[in-house]
Amino acid sequence: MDLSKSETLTLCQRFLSAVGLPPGVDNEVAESIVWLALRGYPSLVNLSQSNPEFPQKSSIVKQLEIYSGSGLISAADMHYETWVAIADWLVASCGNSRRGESQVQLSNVRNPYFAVPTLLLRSSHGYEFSVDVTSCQAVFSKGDLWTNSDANEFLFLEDEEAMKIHCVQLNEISLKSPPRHLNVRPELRFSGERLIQGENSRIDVDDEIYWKLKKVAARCFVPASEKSRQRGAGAEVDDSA
Amino acid sequence: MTIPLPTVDQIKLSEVTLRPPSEVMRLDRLGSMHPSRLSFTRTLVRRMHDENWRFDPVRKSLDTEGFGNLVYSIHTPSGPLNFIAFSTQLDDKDRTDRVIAEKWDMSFTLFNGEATKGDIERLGKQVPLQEAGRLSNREIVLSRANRSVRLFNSVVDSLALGRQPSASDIASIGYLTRTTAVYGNGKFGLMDFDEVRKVSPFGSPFQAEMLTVYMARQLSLDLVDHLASCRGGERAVKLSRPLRRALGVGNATGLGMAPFLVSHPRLIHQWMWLREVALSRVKSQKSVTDSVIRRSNQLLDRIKSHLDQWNSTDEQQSERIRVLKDEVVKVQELTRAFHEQQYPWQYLTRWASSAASLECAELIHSLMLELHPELVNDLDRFMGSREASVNIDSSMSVEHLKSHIERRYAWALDIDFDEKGAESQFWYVSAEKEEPRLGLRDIDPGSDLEMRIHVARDIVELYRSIKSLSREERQTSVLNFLLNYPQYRYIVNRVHSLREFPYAEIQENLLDASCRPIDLLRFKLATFGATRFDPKSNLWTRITLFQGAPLMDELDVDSADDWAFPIVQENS
Repeated sequence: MDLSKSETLTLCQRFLSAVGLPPGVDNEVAESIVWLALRGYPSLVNLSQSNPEFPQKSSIVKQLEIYSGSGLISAADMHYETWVAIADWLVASCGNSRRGESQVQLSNVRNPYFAVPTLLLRSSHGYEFSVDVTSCQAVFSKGDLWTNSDANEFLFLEDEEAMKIHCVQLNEISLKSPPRHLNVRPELRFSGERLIQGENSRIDVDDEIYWKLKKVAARCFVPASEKSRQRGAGAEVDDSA
Repeated sequence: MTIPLPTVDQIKLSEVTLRPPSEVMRLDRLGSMHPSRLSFTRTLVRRMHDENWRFDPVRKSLDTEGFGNLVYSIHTPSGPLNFIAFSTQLDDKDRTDRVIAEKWDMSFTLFNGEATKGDIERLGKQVPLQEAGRLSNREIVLSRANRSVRLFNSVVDSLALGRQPSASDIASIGYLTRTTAVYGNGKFGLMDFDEVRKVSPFGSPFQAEMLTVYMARQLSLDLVDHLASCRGGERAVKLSRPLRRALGVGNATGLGMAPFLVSHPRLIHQWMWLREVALSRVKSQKSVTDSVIRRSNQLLDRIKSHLDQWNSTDEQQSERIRVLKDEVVKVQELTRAFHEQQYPWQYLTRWASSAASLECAELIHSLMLELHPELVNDLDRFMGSREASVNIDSSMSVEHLKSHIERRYAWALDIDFDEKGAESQFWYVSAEKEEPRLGLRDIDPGSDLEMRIHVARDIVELYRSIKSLSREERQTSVLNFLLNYPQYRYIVNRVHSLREFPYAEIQENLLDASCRPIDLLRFKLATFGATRFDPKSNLWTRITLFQGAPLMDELDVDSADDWAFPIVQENS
């Protein structure tokens, strides 16, 4: 099925709301899922296979340990909400630092799949993130990802790796791209085979996945009833009167 | 990743201070708005005139009952568009103008480019199904309409007998067909608005939708001529030009429009802020010329006739129109003496604030904008905006957030949610065609699935949570707060995202028993350019779009933009 971006966003947001993500988090996760789907990643399939009963209040976020001055340390697979918290933390630390910079060291990171859309969303609002792992470097700036290697390498780190994220609050002067640090060649942007064509405008998804998502998303709707039909909405049958 | 929008730096401000949001963004005032030259129907017609758009009927395949397919080609400087319509048989028992309908007299789509025969075949299968069909990224808008039970057939009958229909009937009804939904922005597979901006002539919101409605009007006019010709043969006449022009497109607008206003706060800010900028420019005129005074007088005469033809069965609206008629006489007296007055528009608006109804005050605003195109027209290209995704300033202290809420959301904090009736309504989405509806909390099921439309209540709850923190806790960052209270992420993001958008919030409790959704609808519809508001309850209203607008072969005339406050000449 060929879906538009906006209908996919609505579908994902409703799905995530229906399964209990807090208001606001559901929007952000939905945006990330759509961002990945537009680039050919199977985020809708992953969503349809995820446990449809998220906890009301994320236990993942609670697991994060925050050490003042040294940043966050986390481990293993990191879910979206973890990355939301990390991005929040980096941005907050920037605001509290005289130089407008902050840094975090993460250990044992694997599959930082949701790091990409999370950091990209934030980079659209005046922050630049440079990310180092053993195998590659990436810069998120002004809503774009720049990398010196295949972006897939970054999205799917299979081994548990150490990761360093450096965040800079941009001023008007540094808003001019390309990113000013790291030895990143601009033409290598989205150099990964699957990303080289950049963002698609449509999302292709199997009918089965679509209807699975739709079924869960429909939990946001109030069941139809004659009373609701008569009393809950406006407009008339025709204009005869 | 995104297309840059024009910045506000390009907008010239005047020295007259804008009215504060606390005055502008109240529901009773928004619910009194009239269309203006910044309304989307007006800006579309102006653009079609300025850019010399051309319209050609390229396919007409209708049987003697008027069923079949019509295609119009629209030539714009950015490339061609097609308006593709299907007229189908509809049993009276299936006719309903509610969104929940499943069949319609006619259905149509706005297609980007020139459609091939294969496209038209595909669309012939999908477009009549509307919500149950699937569209592609070649189609920009999907819509449908029903024939007016009161007017359509009687007009055909008159024309078939060689007579023009009664002008007074046309004046009182105002349309041959009524649209019942107009979909865009990716719904049912249509092209996303982000894409529409890139590849079509439509960079501003709702321009494609308005063009579709404009073409639906042409479709209705061509259909009555066709049917009259089939029925009357040589005796039949075509609908006269003045009557054609006097007809618009009807709409019965229900609740569906209201949630959009809450979910697009930056866009709402942009609409209202630009309107306020335009008004302040006009108010800053130290004097007005004789020609403006003459023109004002002419327009006020037209407004009087317009009001005479604006009928409503709603008691409250009828009374408002009655009062307005008297007030317009007074406005005309005051404007005739404008040459003696310094800053005449300020004088008039001060008078309206103290002595006139909100209907009148808002009508005066529309009049002011109408009389000064040189101060207003440049603003229409800025009517778009982008909503923020995540814009949380997580480094802000909770104390700072609290102070910001106290300054900016005092209107919400003033609401006592413990008071009876303060939360008696709730908004929800029905499983039936995902239609937005309104329920009573203590009576109707579904309040646990309430739509996120309750900004005021969210603000109050957030504020109460912050106040419950110790002084030390309030010195910590929003980051820490949201880790402990993730349920407030949406409202904190909203507060932060709207810091520079003062006209973004409708400053009312939309859950209150006294809230009239009809006011929300009128605000949005006036911004679209609708006239003849005829509320049928607190939940829905009848309106007309494009009544009086130039026809597609009249767009090149110099007066193409002069159709505000439309009237039907009874001797047409």
